[in-house]
Amino acid sequence: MSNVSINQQGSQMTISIRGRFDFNILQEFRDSYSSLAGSDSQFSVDLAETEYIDSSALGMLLNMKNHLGSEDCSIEIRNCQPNLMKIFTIAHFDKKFKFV
Amino acid sequence: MKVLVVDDQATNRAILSWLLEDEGHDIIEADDGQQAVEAYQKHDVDIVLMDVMMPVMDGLEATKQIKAIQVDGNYVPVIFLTALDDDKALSQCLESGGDDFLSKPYNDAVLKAKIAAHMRIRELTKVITKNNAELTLHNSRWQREQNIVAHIFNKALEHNLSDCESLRSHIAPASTFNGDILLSAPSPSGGLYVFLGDFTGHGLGASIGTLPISHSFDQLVLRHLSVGEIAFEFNKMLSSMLPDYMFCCATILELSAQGDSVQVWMGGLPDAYLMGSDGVIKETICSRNMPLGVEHDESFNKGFEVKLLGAGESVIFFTDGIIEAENPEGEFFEEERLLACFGQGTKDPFANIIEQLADFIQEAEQRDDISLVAVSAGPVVIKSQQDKQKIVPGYEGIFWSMSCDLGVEDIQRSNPVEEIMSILGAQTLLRPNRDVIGLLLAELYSNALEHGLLGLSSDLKNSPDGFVEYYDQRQKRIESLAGASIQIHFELLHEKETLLRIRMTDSGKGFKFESVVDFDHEDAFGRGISLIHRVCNRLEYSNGGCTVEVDFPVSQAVDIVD
Repeated sequence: MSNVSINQQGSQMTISIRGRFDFNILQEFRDSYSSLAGSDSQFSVDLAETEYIDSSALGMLLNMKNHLGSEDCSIEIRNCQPNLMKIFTIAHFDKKFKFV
Repeated sequence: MKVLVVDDQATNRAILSWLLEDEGHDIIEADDGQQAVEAYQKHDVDIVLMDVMMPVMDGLEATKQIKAIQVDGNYVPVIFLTALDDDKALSQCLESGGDDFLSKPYNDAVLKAKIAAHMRIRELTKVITKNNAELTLHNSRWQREQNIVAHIFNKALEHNLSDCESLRSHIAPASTFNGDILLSAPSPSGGLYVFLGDFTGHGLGASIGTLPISHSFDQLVLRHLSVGEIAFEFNKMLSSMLPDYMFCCATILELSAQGDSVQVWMGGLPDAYLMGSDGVIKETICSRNMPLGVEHDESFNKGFEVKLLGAGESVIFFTDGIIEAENPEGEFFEEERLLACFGQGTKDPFANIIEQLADFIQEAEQRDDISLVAVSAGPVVIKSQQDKQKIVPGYEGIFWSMSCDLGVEDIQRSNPVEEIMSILGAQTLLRPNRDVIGLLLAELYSNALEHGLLGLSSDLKNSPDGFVEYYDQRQKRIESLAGASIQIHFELLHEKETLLRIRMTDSGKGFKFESVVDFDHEDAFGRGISLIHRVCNRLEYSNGGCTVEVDFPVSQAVDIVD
């Protein structure tokens, strides 16, 4: 089963990641949003079932942000577990992304 | 059945005796009231048939005396057989204590029926008396046992911190036994652990579960586990112990020794509030987990939240007994009334809540246990000498070191970081920071592998395509790796504070670390190092960039350098 799944509802795209969020899912993760650059979709990344992240995941999220356009392109990160939040906080990502 | 026949006329006695002996009764005869009382005392009589007008002592007086000496619960009916049939005479019979009467001349069938009916009442009375005696016995036994159990509970829950200014609580059980439980203890690092639980229901049934909880709380606290891990241990214990319909809503909290941050795990209790020094709610902390005793081990989430506490701030949490408290009209207190207790101009929201709640409930019966707890910012001061002994001054365990030498096959096979973390994670001291240490190790390892051994350049990661290229290259180069190794050395040591020192050496060519290490640069490269720098006291490269050494302070809860 794929660890990256996409759910589209109207212009709302939700990318869910199961298990480990690291470079092993790089291609899958990138494919999930790359064709949609410039569209007016709203993106969110759902981490409800994510167990682990490392710095490559942080890089992948930044790349996604850069790829989809400007600073004001909002990417929401949903359902971030407290242990992962700790890592996002250490990396100051809490200020770069919107956590809901 | 023994029938006492009282009549001054021998003929009357004889007729009755014949009649009743035929029915299988034993007959005792008395000539007058005096003899009747004596016969009653001498024999174990079941029923008395009493004439009214007799010499020496009449039937009314005899009945009074018989009823007076009758033992409580032993119902011996007295039936008057009388020729008088005016209302006054009949009511005198009943006033003297008689249970029934029959006018002479009587009908045999009616007399037999009356005797049978009174015998049934006598049997029923015997059963009721016996049951009553048993109930009385059970009740006094229950009272005695309740006293014993109450004593045990009080002893078990006694070891709360009695005198610590960081902790404030208000506890109001609905009955002798409290289904709410509040535990507190100093943490080995000088902080404060607080556990607030609410078992399903209230009374003795609900409070049973508090015993094992309070017992193992002490043990877990000594192991200096994270609040998430304490929750995990409790959940494991309760799910194996409690019936399916019972569980425990809980909030577990650890205040750091400096009192500037709290770790919070919440399962099923109402929202907690982070309150500013002005009495205004700054943030609502919601439960993210199922109550204890519900989840299976595999699906249990040990994650917890970390909140920073500024001066004068506090975390207020409580059981649902507060919001579900009812007033005499049957209305609930509800969140709205609770929130109205906070805010600007409220000197002491904690006291305000207790006051408003008392005003609201008035005379209504309290249905559920009520507990309200506040943990406030500021260095934790433990006053009681006994409690002080529980604080370990620094780390008192053994200091150890561990090394591993990873060859090509180890590197190609899998990521060794997880394997190493399962060893380090078992160390009690390192457990609370396991996530951060895991991240730290993963970053050090990928730097050593990707830059040191594989010679990949971070510059590649500048563009999204390069990012993909970077990881493609990584995979290819790992597959063709030869004659390489990574050595990792761990050491637990004490220099001012307890540190985990990690030294990692790769067999690569090294790199110009001065150019890569840009701590403030948070773009797609160097982020790993930037992360390491934030959580470690010291980060040093040597050996031409092939060796990196970091010191991670293990005694701090979670240190986020801003």
